[in-house]
Amino acid sequence: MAGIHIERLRKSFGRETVVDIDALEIRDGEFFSLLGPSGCGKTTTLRLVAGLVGADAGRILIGGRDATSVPTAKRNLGMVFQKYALFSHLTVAENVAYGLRERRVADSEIAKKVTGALALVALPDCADRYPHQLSGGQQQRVAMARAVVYQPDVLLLDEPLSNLDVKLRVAMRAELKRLQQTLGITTLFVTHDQQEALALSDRIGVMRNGRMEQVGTPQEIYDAPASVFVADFVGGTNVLGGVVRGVAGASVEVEIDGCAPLSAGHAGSFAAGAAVNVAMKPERVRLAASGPGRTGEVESVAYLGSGFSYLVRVGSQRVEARIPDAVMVDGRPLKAGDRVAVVFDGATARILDP
Amino acid sequence: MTTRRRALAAYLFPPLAVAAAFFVIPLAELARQSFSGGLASYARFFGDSYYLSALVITLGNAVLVTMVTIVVSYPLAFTYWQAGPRRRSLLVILLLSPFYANVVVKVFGWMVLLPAGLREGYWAILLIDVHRAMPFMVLMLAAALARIEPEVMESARMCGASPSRVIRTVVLPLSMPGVVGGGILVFSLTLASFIVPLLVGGAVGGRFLAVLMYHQITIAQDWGFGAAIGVVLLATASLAIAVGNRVVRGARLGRVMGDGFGG
Amino acid sequence: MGKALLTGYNALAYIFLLAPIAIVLVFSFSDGAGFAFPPSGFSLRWFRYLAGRDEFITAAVVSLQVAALASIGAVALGTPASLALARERFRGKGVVEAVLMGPLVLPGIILGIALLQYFTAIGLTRSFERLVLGHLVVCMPYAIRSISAGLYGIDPSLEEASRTLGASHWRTLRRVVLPQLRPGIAAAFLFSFITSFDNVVISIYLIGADTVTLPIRILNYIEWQFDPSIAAISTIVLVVTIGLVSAAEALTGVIRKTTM
Repeated sequence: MAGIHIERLRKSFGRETVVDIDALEIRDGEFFSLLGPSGCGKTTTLRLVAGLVGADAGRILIGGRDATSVPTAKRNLGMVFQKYALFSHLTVAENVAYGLRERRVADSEIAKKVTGALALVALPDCADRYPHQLSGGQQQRVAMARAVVYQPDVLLLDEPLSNLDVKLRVAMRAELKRLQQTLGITTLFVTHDQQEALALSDRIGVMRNGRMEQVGTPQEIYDAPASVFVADFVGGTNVLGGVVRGVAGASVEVEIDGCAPLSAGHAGSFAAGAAVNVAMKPERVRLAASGPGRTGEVESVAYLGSGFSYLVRVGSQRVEARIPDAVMVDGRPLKAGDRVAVVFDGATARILDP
Repeated sequence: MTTRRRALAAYLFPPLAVAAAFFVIPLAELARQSFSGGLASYARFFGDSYYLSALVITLGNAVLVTMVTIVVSYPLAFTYWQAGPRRRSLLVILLLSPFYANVVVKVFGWMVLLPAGLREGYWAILLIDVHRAMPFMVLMLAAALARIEPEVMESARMCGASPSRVIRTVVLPLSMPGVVGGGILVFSLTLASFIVPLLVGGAVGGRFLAVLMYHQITIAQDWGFGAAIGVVLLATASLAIAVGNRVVRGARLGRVMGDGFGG
Repeated sequence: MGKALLTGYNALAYIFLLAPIAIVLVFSFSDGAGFAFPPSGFSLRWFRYLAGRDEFITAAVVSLQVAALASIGAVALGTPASLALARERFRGKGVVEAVLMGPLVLPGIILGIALLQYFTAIGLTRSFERLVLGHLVVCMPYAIRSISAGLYGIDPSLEEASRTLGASHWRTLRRVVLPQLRPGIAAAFLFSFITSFDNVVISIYLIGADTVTLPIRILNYIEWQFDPSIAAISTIVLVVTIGLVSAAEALTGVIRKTTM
């Protein structure tokens, strides 16, 4: 078992810098996700850790040992590929045994370990089949067994769930988490699916244009996005433009066009008159269908099962409000075209640089 | 990384050594041989109307064969393109049988088929050259047609174009890469045509550069002159391919390459 | 109306394309000595006649031996060449590719005469060796093309997976790439074999008095004698070629993929 330590890691393809990470520490036994849109450099970062691409500059330490120039084969990693990359000319058992054979493990030992690994991924009866005879989910499990059977220092996962259908994906998510916790193995997971990252990770690194935009626990990333980009990508967040009216200690008063002024906490320093963005969870937005200040107009109402989503136009912007029970007005549910007042909760709003 | 470099060297050395020894060096030697008497061999070739007319005959035949082949092959490619998968697998077998049949066997078949009066002479050459070139051309055209997206034609039809107008204004222009690509292929193949004029050409057959060269080497034993004819032939073929590629690139149609000089 | 015209034209064109092959097949089973149509009856006399003619038997043996050796060589050299061309990026790749694939675009008669002159100059006099080496050079690009197509069909992440599992470059080659590449290599062998077995224009310069390939033997025979024995031997050549093509096609589906 080992942590991963990355410093000043750079990689360019041609003129384009695809990875530029100053520092990143992945702790021993941690489940760490690299999250970001396609082209953000998350897969290249994973491949740099794997040694499948060479770094232009910087260092990668695995378990405290400098691995930057160690060939992939000698890094003692386990990796699960997006399309599993199972060897179609070998049986399931031979696939799982592949890494053990490279490590010159005795045949009797191999048989034992392969059986154990297949049991671990709940595939005990498939040893003699070929990969093409298995379903997508089963192939996924074989790939997992193959990657962990020789107890690698680090497990690398390159969007391993993206080829499964939605239902199976959610089931495999739980399976993956269970497996990782059973083995206690340091895991680096690449995904563009924020749900997946939030559900699985101990910590998440959100990447943008090759850089780490924010590193934090799922709650931190979700509740306190450090930038408009993170708020936008992790999703489910209203980002509204506003102007700073005044600063009072740790709270800033911001005016958003068409809404009542709000006071919110902040981390940076803002001057009066500066344009800022306010991030606000839809669950924290309230709508008042009666009374004064009804400057918003309901554009649409959607039933989400767990509640209602109201899209409200205020001034030149749009705000989403999620409310468990339908908002009533004059004894009927709120509908498009109704006028409402939008009320933000300053305690959970975040002020961000534009 | 170093393992990869070492592997690369190990992978490339043997095939490159063989290609150098039995392809590059012999060709360079051939070119050198053609200059063994200075420019004498070339002066002889370009100074003698007999040889110049041989060049014209060879080139003219290649042009004619190419044009005829394009015209007679296009409807076949069109039908192939329009056919369903089962029809296509039948048609591809019908096309590939003459494609892969040995050139000597094909010429022999024609010698049996043609009436005595037509068995020898220029018409026989033209007929057999077109016959040899057709499968190439149909397959090249079909590949180009396959790249036309059905939506393009459907939208043309939606705009109110009649089927024949769709063919003229959409299909033909979009299949031009195949016409040019196939044309270059057939042209260079026919330029080097050797067995056909040798066997059925009669008197005019001896005026084809490939045959001329063969006779210079095997009968006249004039190596320098034979080599010079070879260089002229190669230069002409390369020029045609280069010009063709240029045209294709200019029209942004993608690259074509000459292929399959079967004889 | 237009459709009927097109169908009619197609029928005539395919008859034109297949007629010379069909006529050869028909007359190879005739019992007459000439080519009067229709043939007077069915017999295997021309095949029996061939079985007794040494010059055809030896030519067939030479053709098969040359094709086998040239194909083995082409695959042995073409496999590493493809691994470099299809999997690696390096400087001067364009030149390497031009040199290796050059014989594909060069008119065969020119390579034939160049090789004849070169072999004479370096003192390689035996025709059999000349034929094998000449065919090897023309077969190599076909082998490279088939094997590269096979390599492009193998997901590169298989090799990466092997490396993450602890296998070196060479171990990965042996345990993953070569087993996966088997159909491509088989197809390369078959296409090389056809290319060599079919070759006329290079062979015609490199044959010797007692080392003649089958197509050249037929070629010479046509000039001397014009009877259905040529049809019979042509039929054998056709069957061998079509058989090899079908086998290669079944292995790769290359033609299908590129034209359908």
